[in-house]
Amino acid sequence: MLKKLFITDFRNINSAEIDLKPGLTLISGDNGQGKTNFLEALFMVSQGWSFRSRSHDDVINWDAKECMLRVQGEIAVISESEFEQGFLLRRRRGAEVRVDSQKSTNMGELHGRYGCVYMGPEDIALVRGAPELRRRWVDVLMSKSHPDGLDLLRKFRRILRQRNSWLKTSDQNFYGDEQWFALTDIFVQLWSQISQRRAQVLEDCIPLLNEFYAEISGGAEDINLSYINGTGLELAELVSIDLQELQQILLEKMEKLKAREQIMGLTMAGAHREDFALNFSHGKDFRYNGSQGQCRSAGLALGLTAFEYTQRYFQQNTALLVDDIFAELDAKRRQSLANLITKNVKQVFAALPRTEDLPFSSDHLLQVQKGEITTL
Amino acid sequence: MYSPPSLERLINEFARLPSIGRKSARRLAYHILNQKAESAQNLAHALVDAKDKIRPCSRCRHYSESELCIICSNPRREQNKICVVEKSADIEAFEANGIYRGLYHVLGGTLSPLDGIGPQELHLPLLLERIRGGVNEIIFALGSSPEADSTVLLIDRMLGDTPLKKTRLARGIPMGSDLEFIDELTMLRAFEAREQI
Ligand SMILES: [Zn+2]
Repeated sequence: MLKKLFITDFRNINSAEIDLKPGLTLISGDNGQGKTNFLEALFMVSQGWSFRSRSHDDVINWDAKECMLRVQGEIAVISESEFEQGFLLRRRRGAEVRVDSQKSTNMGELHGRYGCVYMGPEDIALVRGAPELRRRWVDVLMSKSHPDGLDLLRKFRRILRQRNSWLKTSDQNFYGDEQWFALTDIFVQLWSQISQRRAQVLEDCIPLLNEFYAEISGGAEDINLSYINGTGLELAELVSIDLQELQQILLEKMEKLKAREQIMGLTMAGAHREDFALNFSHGKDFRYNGSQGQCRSAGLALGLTAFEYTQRYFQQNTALLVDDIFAELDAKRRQSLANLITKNVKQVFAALPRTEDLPFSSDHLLQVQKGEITTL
Repeated sequence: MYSPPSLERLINEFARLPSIGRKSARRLAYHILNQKAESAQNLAHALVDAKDKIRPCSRCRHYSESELCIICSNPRREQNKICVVEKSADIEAFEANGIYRGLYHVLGGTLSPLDGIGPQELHLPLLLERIRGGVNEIIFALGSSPEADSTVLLIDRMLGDTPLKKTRLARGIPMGSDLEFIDELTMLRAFEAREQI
């Protein structure tokens, strides 16, 4: 359980020291007052990255030179043990990270001790939203179940940039085929590993997804997932295929694209272009054949699946952050979501403008006004 | 500005060095001023002298004061083995523990189109020429970044079917780590468990 959060100059929150309680904590306040900032602080101090921005400098208060976050809590596995972690960020400088008494400069050290899952309005739109959102959804889970996941993604992004740069500008005449192969083979090696890990995560998620979807929608239809990476392989095949064989398939694909890529000056396939789709049991894609309501229910189910997946990984030591999604749901879905949350989650922080939007009673109340946080 | 111009200039020069911030630069400058004139002269001399005399070895591109570096001109080194490293400083890490008795080749980087570094910039033709002139083992010690991986592949492809034993240091060395900062034991393990390419 997370027990105490200290905030200094994080976005519009200048200074706060908040006791965190078990059960449901409601964070109320008008839009733009800092509710999401509070959730972001909680997420960032426990995970080491922000769900809203890539640059660390963004989270430092405009009028301040540095910001600091610190969280204290208790990890319960066999017995309970106290933990504390936090970081100090200075503008245009690296981070100072502290995990218990260990110092570091790597924000990644914060990740992997305590689970925290954020569900926001974009999750409701996950099914129909941009592929990038779905990739992020699966990658976040992959980074938990596969310790090398983040490293693979980082290396992949790096080699992708190198490859694009080569296709765009570099001298392709001098040992051009050899250069193409050297860049493409490493690219394919990383891509195949990422694909297979993502497929594994998705396969593991199917039962959870169906369980949550059935409870939210009350519907009887089954959800299947299909993986889209241009190989035509089914999800289950992708999970079980020999890695070398997969690399061969992907390499052949890249060979076919070779001429076009050189004209376009761009890498045209890869882990950065993959996607997955939710399908009804008769095979039709939710995106095009599902109603608005079905898509929203499936989006919520994906969000809860992410939470359950994370919670299993962290042996229940996981907090759920819910940002302003109740207002977007109809009464029935709101109630099912509320029931699921109260049933499955030990510590929830839910932000919403009006308390009457909440279909169940909260255990604790925080109010955010112009970055001031008060416990009511 | 509270310091005289010459002091300010010294601080500026120090601050341009890698991993030296303004504060450390100032500290270094004051340290120099507090010393005898002689030691400042020695330092200045050493700087100019080194920059003047040292150039890349014409065979392996390791830093050297003569045409051939100390390693290339040592007849007792195994002449048919080449260990390919990214930079001269990496050689120090190998030489410190003496486990390797062959020759080296300094690439001066890894394949990186983003930085405009291709096979020419890495002097790969020079390396290929050396290898074809009677080398039977090549060991890659370039770390484990994707750039290092593709550099190894590139050289391998450029070599075509030249008969040769090709190995690379075992992974296990964390990504982005510089060889020069790896402790001897890790280095020894990586060296002994090198993998066939
Ligand atoms: Zn030499």
